[in-house]
Amino acid sequence: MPRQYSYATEAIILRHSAVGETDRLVTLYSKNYGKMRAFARGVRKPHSKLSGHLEPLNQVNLLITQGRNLPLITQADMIEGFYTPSTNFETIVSGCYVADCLDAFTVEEVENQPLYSLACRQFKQVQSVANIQTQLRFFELQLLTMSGYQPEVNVCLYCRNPPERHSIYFSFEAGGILCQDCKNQFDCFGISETSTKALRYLLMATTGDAQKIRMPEAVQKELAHVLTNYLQYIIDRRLQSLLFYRRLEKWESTAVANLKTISGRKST
Amino acid sequence: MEPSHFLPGALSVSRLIQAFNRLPGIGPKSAQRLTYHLIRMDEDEAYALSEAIRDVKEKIDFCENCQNITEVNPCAICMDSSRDHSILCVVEEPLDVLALERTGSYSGLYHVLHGAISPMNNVGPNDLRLEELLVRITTIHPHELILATNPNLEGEATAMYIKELLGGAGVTITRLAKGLPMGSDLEYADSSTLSQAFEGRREL
Repeated sequence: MPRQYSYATEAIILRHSAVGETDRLVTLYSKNYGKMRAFARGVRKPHSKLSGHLEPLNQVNLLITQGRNLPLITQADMIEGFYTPSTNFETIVSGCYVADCLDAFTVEEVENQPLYSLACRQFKQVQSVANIQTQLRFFELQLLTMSGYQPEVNVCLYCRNPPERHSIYFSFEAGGILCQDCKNQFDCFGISETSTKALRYLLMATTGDAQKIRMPEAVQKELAHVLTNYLQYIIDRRLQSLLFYRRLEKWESTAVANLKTISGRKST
Repeated sequence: MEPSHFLPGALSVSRLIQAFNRLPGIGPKSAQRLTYHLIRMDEDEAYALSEAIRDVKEKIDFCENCQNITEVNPCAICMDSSRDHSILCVVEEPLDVLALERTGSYSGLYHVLHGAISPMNNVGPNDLRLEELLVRITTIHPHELILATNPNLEGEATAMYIKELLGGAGVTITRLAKGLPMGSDLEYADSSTLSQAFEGRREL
């Protein structure tokens, strides 16, 4: 979309970092211009009119002017804030993961309105759904599809035949499943039939339908392993929010368990 | 190729410029200006500055209780018997203790985390002084724990994590009130702050 000196757009704030004494460099995903980085001057001052609006995971209306090096955010108005009374630690971590994926999977200045709409819906969904993990798997599959990396989960990618029920393999390199006969053509690992069916269902599901599927914990874990690693294989780097999640699990299983024993509390 | 601040025959000047350049917010030009200001400064003033830097590195330690920076261990706040030892206020940084002390309206103890949980930057509970906080709670059994982390994504994540961790520990967990800052405009306040200000309204 051609830009004027000053232009308005809807956007999701993905992250920000402190610059100088009072400024911030904001990474946002805008509806009309895709991912952008913009300066927000003076937002770390206590009386800043912009600061509350520009918190990560908020959906905002922005007025942006062209700066010397980077665009400047001159006005902001919140459309939908991420924080609600029901916000808890898990929703914040999940929201951060969605924002991290969006940041890692997109390049600057490339508009993708369906992806913007998907992200807006996901920020609302992680606040309200019963099973956040299923919602995240749905988001990952939609993100892959909209970015041109939809995994093939119906037929073997090499011979194009449906694989045998108990010998299905997934290859990041090939971008989908392989059968027993073709598994040596690419680096791959075994995946259960139930997980493959769950992938098929989630690929066809709408945002509202994603929660209808009930999966055993083992399948949830297998899906999380397949999809998060497939995402990281494509972007060719580790996602910080995933590393955070793994370190958190490790810390909770060691340090917190020890302390709970000391304090005589039941481990959760 | 030599760096732009390399002065032949004045290696100490180049070293000082490099040292300043490593500080946050100091670019190469500011580093050069500070260095030439120091060269022109009185000897006494320059030595006082160098001694102050040496003292900070030699004398400053972390308080074994509250993890705040201190010269004596435990720190003066932890040792003050006139303070309320049954209330613990959790803050992110040592500078937050200074800000709260300036208000003069809090007389309990502190616990400094030295950071906040940030999922997007992979900063987890093990990067903070959270284990020390849990040990402290199990040993001194405070009556109230005030979570005074910053009202932003990282601060909220930290507060919620501590709340979930200590949910059944028998300590009252409170959070600093959220609302409109003094001197602000309602017109420019974000909806989240406004709704929290409404929730926290008080009878006059």
